[in-house]
Amino acid sequence: MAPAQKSKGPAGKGAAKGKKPASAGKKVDDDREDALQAVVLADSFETRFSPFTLEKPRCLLPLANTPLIEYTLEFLAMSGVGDVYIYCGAHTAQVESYIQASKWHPLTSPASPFHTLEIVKTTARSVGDALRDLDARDLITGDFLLVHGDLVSNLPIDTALAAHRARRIADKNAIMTMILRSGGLGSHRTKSHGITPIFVVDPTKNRCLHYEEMHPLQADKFVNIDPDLVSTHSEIELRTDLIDCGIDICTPDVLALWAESFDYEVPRRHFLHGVLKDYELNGKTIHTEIVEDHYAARVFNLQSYEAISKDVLGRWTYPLVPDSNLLAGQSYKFERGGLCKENGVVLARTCKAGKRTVLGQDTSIGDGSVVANSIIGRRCQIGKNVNIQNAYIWDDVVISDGSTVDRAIIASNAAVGKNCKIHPGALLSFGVRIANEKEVKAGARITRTKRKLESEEGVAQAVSSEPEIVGEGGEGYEFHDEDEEDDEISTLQSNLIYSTAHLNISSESISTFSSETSGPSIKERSRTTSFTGSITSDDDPNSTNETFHHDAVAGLYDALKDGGDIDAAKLEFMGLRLSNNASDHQIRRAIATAFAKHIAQLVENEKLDAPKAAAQAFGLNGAKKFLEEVAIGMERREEDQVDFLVCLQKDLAHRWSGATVLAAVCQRLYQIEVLEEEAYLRWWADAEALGEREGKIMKKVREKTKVFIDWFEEAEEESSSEEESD
Amino acid sequence: MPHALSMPSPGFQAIILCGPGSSFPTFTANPDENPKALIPIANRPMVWYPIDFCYRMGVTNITLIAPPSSAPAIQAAMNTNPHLTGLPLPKPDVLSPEGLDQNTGTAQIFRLPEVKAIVKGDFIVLPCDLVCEFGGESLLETWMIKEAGLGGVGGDHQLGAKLAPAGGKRIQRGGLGVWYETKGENIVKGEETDFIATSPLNTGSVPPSRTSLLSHMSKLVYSVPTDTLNDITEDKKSLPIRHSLIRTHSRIRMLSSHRDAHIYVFPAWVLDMIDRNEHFDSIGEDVVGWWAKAGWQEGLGDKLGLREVFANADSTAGDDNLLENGPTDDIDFTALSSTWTSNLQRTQTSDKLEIPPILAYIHPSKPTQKNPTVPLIRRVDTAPLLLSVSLQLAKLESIENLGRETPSPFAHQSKIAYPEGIASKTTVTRPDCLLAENVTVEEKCSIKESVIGANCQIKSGAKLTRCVLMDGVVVGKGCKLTGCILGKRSVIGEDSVLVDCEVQENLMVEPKTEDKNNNLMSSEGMEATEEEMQDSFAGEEAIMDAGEGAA
Repeated sequence: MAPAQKSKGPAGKGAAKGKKPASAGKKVDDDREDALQAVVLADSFETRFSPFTLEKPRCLLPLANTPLIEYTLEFLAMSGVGDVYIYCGAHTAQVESYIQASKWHPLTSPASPFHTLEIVKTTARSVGDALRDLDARDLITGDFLLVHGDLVSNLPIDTALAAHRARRIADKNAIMTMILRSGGLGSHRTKSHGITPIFVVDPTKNRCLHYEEMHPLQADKFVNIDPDLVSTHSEIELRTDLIDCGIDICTPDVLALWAESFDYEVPRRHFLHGVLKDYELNGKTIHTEIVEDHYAARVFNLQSYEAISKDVLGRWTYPLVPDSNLLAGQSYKFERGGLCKENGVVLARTCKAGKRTVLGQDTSIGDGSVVANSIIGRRCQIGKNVNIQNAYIWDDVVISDGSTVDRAIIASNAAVGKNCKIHPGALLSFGVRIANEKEVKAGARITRTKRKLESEEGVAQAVSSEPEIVGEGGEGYEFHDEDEEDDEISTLQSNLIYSTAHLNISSESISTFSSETSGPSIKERSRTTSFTGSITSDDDPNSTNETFHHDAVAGLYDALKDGGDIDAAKLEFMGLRLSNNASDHQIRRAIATAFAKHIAQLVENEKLDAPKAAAQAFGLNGAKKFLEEVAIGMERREEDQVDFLVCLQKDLAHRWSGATVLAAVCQRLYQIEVLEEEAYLRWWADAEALGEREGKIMKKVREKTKVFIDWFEEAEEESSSEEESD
Repeated sequence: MPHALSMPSPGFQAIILCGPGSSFPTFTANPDENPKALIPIANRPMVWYPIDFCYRMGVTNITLIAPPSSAPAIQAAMNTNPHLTGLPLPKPDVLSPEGLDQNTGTAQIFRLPEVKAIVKGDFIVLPCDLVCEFGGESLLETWMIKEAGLGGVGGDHQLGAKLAPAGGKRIQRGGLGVWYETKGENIVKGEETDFIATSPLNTGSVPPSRTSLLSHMSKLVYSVPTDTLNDITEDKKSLPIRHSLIRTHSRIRMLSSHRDAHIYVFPAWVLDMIDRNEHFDSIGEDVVGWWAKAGWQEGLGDKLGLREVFANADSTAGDDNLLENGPTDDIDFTALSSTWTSNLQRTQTSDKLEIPPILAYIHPSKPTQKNPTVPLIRRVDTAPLLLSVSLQLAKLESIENLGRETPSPFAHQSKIAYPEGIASKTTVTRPDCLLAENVTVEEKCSIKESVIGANCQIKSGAKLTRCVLMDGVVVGKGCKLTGCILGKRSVIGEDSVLVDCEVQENLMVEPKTEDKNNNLMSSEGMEATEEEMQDSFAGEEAIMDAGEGAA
């Protein structure tokens, strides 16, 4: 990571500011038609496919019996890509061995359309980290395609690429072209549910002006558009009908921008939003290519998994359909009624394998069973009188006699007992066994993954099965995701069936007559805000005041990194606070993030010991005063101190060697008398009291601080015993 | 489309609002005697244009609404002005409701009892300052297809059944408005604009015919004058857009340089809505604005009392409703299409108040292959616009040259109505000039890109470039006028040089005046007296005689 850090400065600045020396040489590059490069983000660093992704990476999950990455690579091959770089997060080894055995790897398969295919190993925790890492590696020489490893598309990119290149030659600042598929005006199954992306586009120039996401849980029920955009662009379109397939044609400048903003994590909500917002500063423009034909979509959650499976069965994705036999050894044939069958399928005489169904090799279906609108993998055994509708069943699954499966996903090697009922939305992960006569309730997520327990050794242990879920003799337990519980939004995305029924969504206000019109108002002001209701007075810390956080952290972090003037940073910080009307909590969170980040970077890049790094950071001129005045406040209230500690803990929980840093930071803050003993003890007690609810990661990060807390407690005991002895 | 002209109008009546013309301070200083509606645009009184627009689209039931104070002047003009008397029969009525004065809001007008009494069915509202070359019949045709259910290919599935037989609750018809681009070929500084947001109509699987306006039609979801919008954005530092709007309409087009042409096709129930909502002040801002919003804001329709409005309209459906007679089988053709994908989510149905849409026709600003020339739509409510539109109309070829098949309805019989009045050694650029009856031009003049009203005299050596002269103007010897508008019977003294000036009616400009960018108005006492006017008339006659003698 050390070279990454170093190259960031010059590379980033060079691209953003004086591009003159670079552009002369680059001109030649642009005109030359060299092989296109592509970057595949095989892991999106999300948990939307839990529990399946606990054991297998998302890009290897089968969609219509073909792993997702096959579709993506097929798309890249069609687009004429020469070099492919695949970024993996979890389960890199599985992806690597899969790719090496596939037809794609140029070293093992002479028929591969690619020049190079490289799996980049990284410790990245987010898309942003991966791209910053890519920037440091200098692999990218020209325009490249950035896609996700879950893309299904039969779209020819020629026109988009040509348009991008034309724009690029006309204006060096046109750094990126996003390909978006228009999804029609009505509702569409492949559109995103829950979180709706909003693209604000100038249709005359195909330029994206603003990006935002909307979901039903937002406190702020408005999309705020910069009035300058309205005055400078006489026509603007606000589009929520677009299906974002995540195909971006980028120039290397995009990587430089990622590198400059270390807080960007995801490509849309952070990067796109941020770059567009900072247009005044960086002058970069991002364009859109909105296509009306062809198919392009991403399998980004289970709802889209279902929708895209249906699209594949409906042959919208042709030629990416089962009977094209994308994988070596597949032998699907398309039969009447949309049935796709491989060789060696055994169908009993009285079973009905109905419409739009895919059956893999050696699968057998027993007498009297009905299968419709479903996908069944290889070597599955479907018993007698089984009813399967709209289900996605992977390989080697056994479904015993008399069971019913409706709109569920059953992963490989799972087994369902006799006369079971699997209700809509249920997810059975790898190897789960459901005992006979059991009903699996709607929306249940059952796994039998070994889970790391919180013991010191971190040895994986199987969690005991929960008989109330899987029945006597079954195997598996209900999966709970700690991260998810903090965050109701992600639950909208992680279920197979989208529903907001369980959520308490506040009713929206409607216009009152008093707003901006000349007429007298009707006496009904109780319906809260007017059309242009207040938008800034919202001091709910969970609301999306991410701009403040981002800007504040960036400013402070830079000051710390340069070892510079904390007082100046403080002024800027207070200015930001006033202009954003940030709450005290937000301020503490921002400060904690900036310091934690800086110290973690020192530890990671300069190989400093954690205590030394902490001493260096907090020893900066003015740092102590800043913390005392701004982060904690002059009253030195205990709650504020505890809050600051929690912020530190939360931030460090996700950083490399977070636990060590937290211990060192705690010690140092006590030494320089920023935080007091009582605050530490209360923080620790609060955390302990949370118990299971605290979450694995949060617990782990504070483990190493225990020694320090123990020391307090001992000291206290000593002092109290001393008092007693007096 | 000649057949469209003969289309019988289904009970439409047109209401033309003759307002005070507050943005013409130079020419409507006394709005009672010189109402805005009578200011000439390319030598025709302003109000001629909307009246002609009505006749062209086959609407003959026309009512001009004017305040009682200025009604006599308008009535007189209707009876005497050669252009207005030349219009086909039946003649428009002039209605001057008692409660109407020069400051009444446009929506308030429709709450006056006299106006309510005359509006019988679906109606069209026009301003008096509209210059619309574009044929309204295609607008009405589109409205009938989309809103009166004549086409059957209704866009929205829920609203498809506008012709549903009586018994169930009948869904109401929507309205239609027209917006045009202000930043086209002729940009006029300071022209007002409106900020509108529209959402495309569901086109269905049957493509519209080539001449249909459907491709330019959309559903209005938000409308506010740009000034009001600027107040909002200044206040909030951003333009807030409600999530409920975005959720209801997945594709919203926001236009900030278009302007409301104030051509509204309204179903009869709108009158009821205006009546119920006392705070509605103007049609463009309040009626249309709130209606557009009610389409997507749940509960707003109820608040505007639309539920009761619709209930009333159902029970008292008018006789002129052509939909009542004859059963029409209502087939939603779009529903028969088999090329739809199944939806995983079911749409919920509820007892929600269905607000009929207000359609927006966005007039295309750029010529397309289908229409190489874009018909003009403009509202002429400021002096610069008056100048620009007059000069634009002056460029139209005359009927004399082109014959009867002239493409523009605004072409004059001839570019120079009285060629005998033009001296031989003088320059008049015919393609871009328009000279009315009895205009005399003496020798050594140069007239370029100008419109000259009846009975004007241009003395020798005068140079006019991009000028509009109303009736009876006298331009002295050796004057140089550029970009000027000269009011009726004004007199410009010799050797004056005026650039971009407006001169009030009856004003005498002193000889050798040099001025730029100014409005020359009479302060009290400087007004031409009756005597002087008589004198000038006498002089005029004398010169006319002389001119004839010369010819």
